[in-house]
Amino acid sequence: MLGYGGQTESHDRTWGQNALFAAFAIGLAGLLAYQVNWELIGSLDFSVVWEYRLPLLKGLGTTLFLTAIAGVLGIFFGTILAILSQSPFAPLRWAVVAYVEVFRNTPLLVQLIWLHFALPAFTGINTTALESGILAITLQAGAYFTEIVRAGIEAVPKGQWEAAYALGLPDWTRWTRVILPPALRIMIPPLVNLIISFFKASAILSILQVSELMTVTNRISNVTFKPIELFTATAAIYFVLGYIMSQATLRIERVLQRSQR
Amino acid sequence: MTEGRGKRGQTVVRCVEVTKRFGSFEALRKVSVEVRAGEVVCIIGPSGGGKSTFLRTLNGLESIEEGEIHVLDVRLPAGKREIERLRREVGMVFQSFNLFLHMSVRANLTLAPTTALGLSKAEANERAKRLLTRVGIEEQIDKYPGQLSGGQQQRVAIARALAMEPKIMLFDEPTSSLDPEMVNEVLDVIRGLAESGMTMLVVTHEMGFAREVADRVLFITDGQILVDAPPAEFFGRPTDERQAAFLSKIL
Ligand SMILES: Nc1ncnc2c1ncn2[C@@H]1O[C@H](COP(=O)(O)OP(=O)(O)O)[C@@H](O)[C@H]1O
Ligand SMILES: [Mg+2]
Repeated sequence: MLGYGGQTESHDRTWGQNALFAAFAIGLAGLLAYQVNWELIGSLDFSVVWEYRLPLLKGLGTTLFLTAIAGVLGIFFGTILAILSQSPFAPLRWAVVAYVEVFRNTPLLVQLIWLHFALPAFTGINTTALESGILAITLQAGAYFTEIVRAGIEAVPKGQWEAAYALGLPDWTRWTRVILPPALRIMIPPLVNLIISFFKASAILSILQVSELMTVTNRISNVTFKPIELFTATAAIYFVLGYIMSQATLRIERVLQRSQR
Repeated sequence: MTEGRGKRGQTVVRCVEVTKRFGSFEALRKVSVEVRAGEVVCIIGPSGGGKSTFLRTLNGLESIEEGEIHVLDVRLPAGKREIERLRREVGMVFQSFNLFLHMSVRANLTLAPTTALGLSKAEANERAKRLLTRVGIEEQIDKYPGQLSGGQQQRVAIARALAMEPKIMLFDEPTSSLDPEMVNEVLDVIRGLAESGMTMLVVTHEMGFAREVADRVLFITDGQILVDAPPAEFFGRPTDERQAAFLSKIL
């Protein structure tokens, strides 16, 4: 081969890798085709999905509602806690750190069950499954959002704070007009990614039967005996919406990058 | 020179034995000094000597450990509310401009007057236009800081401070981060302010400017004011060893 040594070499290596991957992929596909139970696939009847479209849509509605709650309340608490974490009063900062670490470092499933069964035992306040679900997902979302908002706030240059202080701006103005707008810009991509995570994580709430998409799918499959069709359809629904949201995030990121001068 | 210069009013800044520590390090050591209304005080000295720290104690950006500072009618250390009120009467201009980057020039100038002084939008807007004309960049009012040159940004920063109609202006090396060709446009604005009778404390390395504009020059090093003299004396007959060494290096 002609050309510079380095180029040829790297070209060859890439080609070799490609050939290897191709061979591997073809082999795997062949194995799958051989193993697959085509009879079962042929007998699948997806009409059940259409038949139960209304309850499924209602379940999806609840899932989206939970996602929205986790997003809105999570951002609300997260912002307040992030601002408190800048307080000169140390015990307040420690309390925020404790909350964030506890809720970030325990599984949502454990939080959910603990809040639903242990909390009423301590407080005497009984919560419905949906209320426990909303509480758990909001508390965990709040912990993650606190970290994101805090990182955003701390990325705002010190000079912006100093200018705000030197002008004698009221606290409210300093936060809402000077610090939070540029912080938000830094925060938006991770915020949207987190909302997508909670959109998917809301399926865990089905353990308490909160009637979101996963619970509904489960119930329908129990009466129709068509779990494969139903869970395939539900997976597709999660995927399509999740994919749309991640594409939207990419779009937002690109727009933000462009407007950054 | 214009009226206002040389006219000495009442004392507006009085530091009494001020000590400022960062941990155990003393950035200011028993500093005592007075400034009267209408005076222009230039502050020079080697880097790390405490010039910025001194300036920043005057509007409460740095707290002090010992002594007291009287600025206008406020006695520092003071509570949050009182410091906030003081800051509205003491303008500050930073080396790095510190304009609000996500706001237009207009918004930079009207934010504090509308939210901290309670001016109406229209009043604040009028004031912004008038001040931008004064610093010579009225046509940039709808631009964003990122679209302006360093010299223009610093002039906006001066106008932003003036929009609060302060009684005292603090400048911390206002031309140090500018390209050389932009230094004069900013110095001209500051000179104009001095001539209008504004009380000013200016940390600067521009010796020509200090010699020409200052009523007094302070030499700060090791957290102390070692020399406090009129410019002719300060530059003509150094009285302190370190001052003489500093001047011979810089002039
Ligand atoms: N926030 C701070 N924390 C610790 N040390 C500081 C801080 N700010 C200033 N210093 C120290 O105080 C001294 C004086 O600093 P500064 O006032 O900025 O000097 P100058 O403006 O004369 O260059 C320096 O030794 C500097 O390192
Ligand atoms: Mg300095």
